[in-house]
This record gives sequence, structure tokens and C-alpha cells, in this order.
Amino acid sequence: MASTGFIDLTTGSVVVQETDPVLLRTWLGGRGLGAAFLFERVGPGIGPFDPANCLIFTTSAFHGTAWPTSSRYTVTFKSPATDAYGYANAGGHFAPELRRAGFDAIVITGRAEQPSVLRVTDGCIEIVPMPGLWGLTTSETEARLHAMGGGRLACIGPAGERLVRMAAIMNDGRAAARGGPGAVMGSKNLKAVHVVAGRRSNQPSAGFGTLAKSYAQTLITHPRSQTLQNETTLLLVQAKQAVGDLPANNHQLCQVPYADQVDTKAFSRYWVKRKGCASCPVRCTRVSELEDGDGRISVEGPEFETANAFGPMCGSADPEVAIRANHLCNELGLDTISVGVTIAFAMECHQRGLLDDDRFSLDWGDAETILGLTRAIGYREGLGDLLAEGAQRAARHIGRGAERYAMHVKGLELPRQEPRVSKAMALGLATSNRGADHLYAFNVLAEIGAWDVAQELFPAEILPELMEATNERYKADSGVYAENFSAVVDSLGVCKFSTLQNFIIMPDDLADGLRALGWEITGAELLTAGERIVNLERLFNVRHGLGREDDLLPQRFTEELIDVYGWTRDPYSGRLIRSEQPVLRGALADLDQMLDRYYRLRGWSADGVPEPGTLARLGLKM
Amino acid sequence: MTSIRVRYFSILVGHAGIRAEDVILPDGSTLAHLLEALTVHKPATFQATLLPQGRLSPMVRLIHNQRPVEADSLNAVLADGDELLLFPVVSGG
Repeated sequence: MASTGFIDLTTGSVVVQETDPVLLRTWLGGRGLGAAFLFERVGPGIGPFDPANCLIFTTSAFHGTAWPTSSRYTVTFKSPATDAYGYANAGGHFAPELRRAGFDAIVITGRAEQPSVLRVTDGCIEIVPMPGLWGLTTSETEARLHAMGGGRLACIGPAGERLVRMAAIMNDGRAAARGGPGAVMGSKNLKAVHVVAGRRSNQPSAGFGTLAKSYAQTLITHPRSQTLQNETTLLLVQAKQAVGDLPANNHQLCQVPYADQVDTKAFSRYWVKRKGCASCPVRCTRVSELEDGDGRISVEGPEFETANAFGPMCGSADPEVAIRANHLCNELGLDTISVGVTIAFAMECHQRGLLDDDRFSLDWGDAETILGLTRAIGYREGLGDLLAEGAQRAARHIGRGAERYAMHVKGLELPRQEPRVSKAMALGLATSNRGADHLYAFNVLAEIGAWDVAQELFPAEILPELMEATNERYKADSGVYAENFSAVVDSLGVCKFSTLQNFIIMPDDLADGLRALGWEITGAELLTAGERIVNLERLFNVRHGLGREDDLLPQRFTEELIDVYGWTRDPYSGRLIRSEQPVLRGALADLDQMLDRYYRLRGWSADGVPEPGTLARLGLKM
Repeated sequence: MTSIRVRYFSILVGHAGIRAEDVILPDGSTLAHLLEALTVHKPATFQATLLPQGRLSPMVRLIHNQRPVEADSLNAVLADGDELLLFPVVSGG
């Protein structure tokens, strides 16, 4: 049995108590447990930067065990990007360390008088004033604290200290980034959570170990996971180029003639080693290195999202720009997606005569603009101070129709998919309770052609339309399933790449693992818990005044068409040649119809509010 | 002769210009034969997407009679009335 720590940084109060087992069984851990704590403690009267806002670190029962890909902690908070529900998660090694130290959750409120660090050891938490760390980058912070007893830490960089609304929390070179958790941490004068666990292993039983090993073996040998192991998420570049799902120039384009310059092969020239998170047999990460003015820089990734955000999205064909920008974001503690998308927004504003800057050209693909603005956002300098507010707020400030070019939902910048081509993603980005994010639903059943999986889940008569990525009619059906499953996966702190990305480890398999840990639970009960979590997150937003009008995509996706072309290779030069005519015209025909069906399937009103019967069935109250 | 029902999804519909077709092949034909036959009389972009350099693209997933086809199983012999679904594979981010 693990504990929950309640910390008030204002008063210095630290209370550690055993986590209520009923609470754990209801909310699973991770994202679900974080949602339950946040819902109970943070109402509409509390702003994201108010000391009363919570910053909640949560783990799961799988953490610290050999369960494959169980490495992801969640941090939950009221988001400074959306002024609504926020959570982010990250892999690496922080989650198992926190679990081994004996914690299900650490609930942090208040504001420390001086910049401080939470030092967590077995069952104990101490608030340690460390003003000397303020101003340091994340790697400098990590080095300083590692020298003081090893362990693992989650920390912020200069961006979080300056309340940049897209600031991330960094651990082990990884980012819990979406929605600005780093800014909430900065507002609390909290530089890091430093965990040094004494217990080195957390293997519950031989039976569990055997089960975990067998699932790990399934995972690494499954054909659907082979390409990820070999090519990383960058494998998506050519796949997305082929179907018109590779956003470029702030979603004015969905394919680029320079795809070969920004794909796996192009980035692999900078790879120096392979890396994996705790308990992960897949090890999909590559470490990239290159020479910089001040020496050699090293960064985990870039992954696809980052490579697109700082590549085609900003009109850049230079992998080195993406690697440098990734490195800068990690050092300053920034969300690479939101930073890249906000810079692309600024570039389109410049293209349309709405924005100029003394320091940066704002021209598409200009490396100085991309890298300079990334740094300026992190330090809130010049134009970066405005962009640090995020695309939505910056657009309101610029005015004159700039809102049209801000690619966000609920204030959170869009991840790197093209909603006019991938209809499942379109709906998922719209309904996500944390704002535009691909991983909230991760509804990729049709995109990966998993017909065999869909057959098990949905009636045969809807499969042809459900499995057509460009068809809108039944995307709500797979969306509801995917959101519920995602909530389970996030709550158990497991990676999407072993679950929803390829549908290898399914809810029944996760229940198998939990039963081996002593839980009495089935896969169906897990999915109901997932549904409960999504509904609670929805309720949090409803309480903050959000509804159907917030489940909308930027006008570009509902009002503008986008042409998708076919590509061949010149047999002599090998260069890509675009077809003369488009082979597909991307359009989001009827988001309203998709939302209507989604709300109906969820048991919500036409305004997107959970009906009383739905709440009663799930044991929830407004 | 063996008649196979072929259904395309997503961008492959755009390249093929049709959603589905029936393909007649000699008895004893394999999946590999069928894939080659599909590229006949279709635009170059269709072949570039399905069979770049003459080999099945790793970005296309085949479902043969409701079951996924692995890349090393293209020598499976087809039967009359079989169905093949072709999906371009893209997944999230």
C-alpha cells in the first residue's frame, strides 16, 4: 500500500497518509487519481497561477514493476493554457522512483516563500529552500541535484519560472508538457521534485513477473511494433506525406516536396544511441547529437511531433533546426508542440501583413526566427513575451483577424495531424478535455487499418465506414472507445505505444496484470473506470463554463478545403514529383454531426454536458 | 479462374479512382500476383504508394479474408470469393 503526500508550500505543511483504497480502485491511479483530487479541490474561482491551484504528481500500481512500458507519471493541474482541466504525462524513470519511494500521489498547493525543492525519500517529503537553483536550465538543475544524492527528478527551467503558458516539467530528458504544468510549478516557486528511493525493486510476485515478461515478449515480437522499434515515430513522416496528413506552413499545406529531408533517414544521420524508458522492451527513442557553437548538444529525439512542429509546420526542411529547437525547449522547459505551432502562427500573421518584428524576419523556414523565437519565448523577451501567452491569446492581442491563424482548441495548440484528412483525429482534438491533443483519444483504429481489432469491438455493418479514415459517420464510436481506453492507459501509467498505437496490449491484458497484483478487476471494469475519468474531466470543464462551443476546431479546418496530391519518384534523380491534379480533397464536412453522435453515445446533452443518468451510472456528482 | 473482391481505403481510393473492384486471376494465383495485377491501368502514384520499387510498401496494410497479412505471407494462394482490403497506415504522432 502506498501513500499520498499533501504539501502546502505557503505554510510548509507536509501530511503523508495512506491512500484511500476505495479512491484508488475507483480512479485506478495516474490520470484518474489526479482528476479526482483536482475536481475535489479546484473550483472556478481559482486561477491557474493562484496558490490554491493544485499540482498533482501521480503514479500507478504498475510503476516500479516489470510491467512493459509502465513508466509514465501524470501531473494534473488547472491549465494556464486553457483555464480549464489540465494534465500531462511523461516517461523516463521518474515514475518508478516515486513509486519505490512509496507514493501514489503528491498533491501540492500554495506558494513557497523562496524557490524550493521537494525532496522525497521513502515515505517522507521535505520542503527544501534552494534559491540558488532559480534561473538554471533543466540539465543544470538535474546535475546539481543529482550531485546531492542521486535519484530522479522532475524540474522546471527558466520558462516555468517566467510563467510561460506552454512551460513543461522535464525529467530524464523527457517532458510532461501539454497545457503548461511547468508554469503552474513556477507559480508555486517550486523548482524541482527530487526523489531518492531506498527500495530498489518492487516486484510483487513470481507470477506477476512471469506474466509481465510474457507481455513484454509479445510486444517486441508483434509485427505492428517492429517499425516503431526500427524507425521511431519519425516513420510517420513518409506515411503522412503519402496520405496528406503532414501539416506544413501552419496547416496551409498537408504535404511537402522536401519530405525526404525531414524523415527517419534524414534524422538518423544525427543518431548516436538508442534509449528506452523504465520497463520498456521497445526502446523507441534515439539520442541525436550535433555540433553547436558552444559545443556538442545532445537530445532525446526529436520525435515526430517535434520534428513537424519545428520542421514543415514552420516551413523548415532542416533537421538541424528541429534538433536545436528540441534541445532549447528541453533546456528551457518548454512544450515543443505549442512552441512550434505558436511560431508558425506568428509566421502566417507575418505572411498576411499582420505582424512584423525588429529582431526576426518571421519568414517561413528561417532558422534564426525559429530558434531565436524559441529562446525568446522561454525567456519572455521581445515578441517572445507575447507568444509565451500561446497562439490564442497572442491572436487576440494582435487582432485584425489574426484569430483565424491560431491553431488551437480550448487554448491549447494543435498537435501534428491534419483534421481534414484524419477525421478520427479531428473529432478527438475537438472533444479532448485538455484542449487539442492527439493523445487524449488517440483514436487511430482506422489510420492503422486494424480491421481485425475493429471486428472485435464494433458491429460488422459499420466497419466499412468506421475504418475509412476520411469518413466522418462513425468516428464518434471509435472515439468514445479510444478515449475510455486512453484514460485507463494514462491512469495505469502505461505507454500508448504498447496499447492504443498498435492495439497489442488491450484492456483485458491490463486487467490480467492488475489481478496478478491482487486487484479484482476485469477489462470491462477498467473501461468503465476510463469512462468515469473522462466524465469527471468533462464535469470539471462544465463547472468552468465550457460546453459544445468549446469543442470546435479552428475555422481553417471547417471552412477551407485542402488538396492532397500523389507523389512519384524521378527514376534518375530520386526526387519527389507531385501529381498534376489532386487525388483527394480534404474537407471536414460536418463536425456538428460528429459531435451530436459523440454526445449521444456518451450520454451527454446536445450541449456536451453529462446527463444526470450518466452521472448516476458512473457514481459521479456535479 | 479465381475472382477476388478488392476494397481500397483512404488515399488509395484517390489513387485507384475507385473504392472497390473485382479482379479475375488464373487459379493458383497468390497475393503477390494480385498486388501486381492491381497496378495495371492505374496511375503511377498508385504503384508508387502500393509497390514502390516493386515491393509492398510497409505503409500499406493488407487484410485478407478479415485477417492481417504479414509481409512474408504474400505467397498465400487465393481462393475464389476471397476479399482483400488495402489500408494506408498512418498512426498518430
